[in-house]
Amino acid sequence: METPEFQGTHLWERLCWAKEKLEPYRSEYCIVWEDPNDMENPAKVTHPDPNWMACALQGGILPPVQSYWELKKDENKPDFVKHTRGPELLHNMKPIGPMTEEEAIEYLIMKDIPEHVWKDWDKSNKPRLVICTKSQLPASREWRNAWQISDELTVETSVAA
Amino acid sequence: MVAHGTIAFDTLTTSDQVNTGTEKSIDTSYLLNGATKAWAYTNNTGTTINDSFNYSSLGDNATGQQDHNLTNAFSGTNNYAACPVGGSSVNDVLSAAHNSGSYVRVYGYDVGGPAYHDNEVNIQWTGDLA
Repeated sequence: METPEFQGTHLWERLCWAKEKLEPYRSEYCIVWEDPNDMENPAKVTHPDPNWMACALQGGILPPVQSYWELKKDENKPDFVKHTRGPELLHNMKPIGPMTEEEAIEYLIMKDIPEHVWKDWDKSNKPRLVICTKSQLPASREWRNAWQISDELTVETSVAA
Repeated sequence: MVAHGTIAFDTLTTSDQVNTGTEKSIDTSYLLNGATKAWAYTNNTGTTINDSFNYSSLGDNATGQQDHNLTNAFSGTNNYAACPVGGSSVNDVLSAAHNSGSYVRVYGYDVGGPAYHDNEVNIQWTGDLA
């Protein structure tokens, strides 16, 4: 199915279109990460939304990830009250093209996980971010609040570089 | 016959003859602003989004803690409502905390229990979008 020309269309309206037209895509991948500023808490696991994945694979719907970084910058300003750059950053920005599943996961890391976690992620003493399949997670949640990324993990530097 | 297309209007008016006979009007913008902007239904461990709208990801943060992330953020950090309900018993209680226009953390409790508790979450968000 061809994506309509969505530049200039409100992002929310594009999502309405996608919800109606696209089949959700359930990825087997998830992202396990630890926040170096919050080592008291266990590792977190982020799972992509199936409708969002469908949009990412389809292309022509989502704005570039840099738009979200700019919105976060605005929110972090001390005098922030309301977003005023939504039209510029989300709705009028040229949507990005189709992504592979791997590219979509990398986009999601840079969108939904704090920058201080993924930036220079491979330069820490131990891995603090891992892409894995759901089947690689512990089967039991009995010790969920003690989950950590293994120090022994082998890191591939090609991911989320 | 079903017609596909767009109806553009600014005001919706009813004579309300059946009930009060007093004409009532509502702005289209009011309808749009009052609509649900995002919703989701997740499993109790925060590992699966069963169905959703306007979501980008779900985070399993710890026992009883789920992070819900949006694709189209709200215009402010505190000018929207994210209302979670769910759980399988009357003792299950959920709350949502937010300091961003694009994400909330949902906490699940078991009344009388010692700590956070994994719960299914049904959540809907209303407010003005960015």
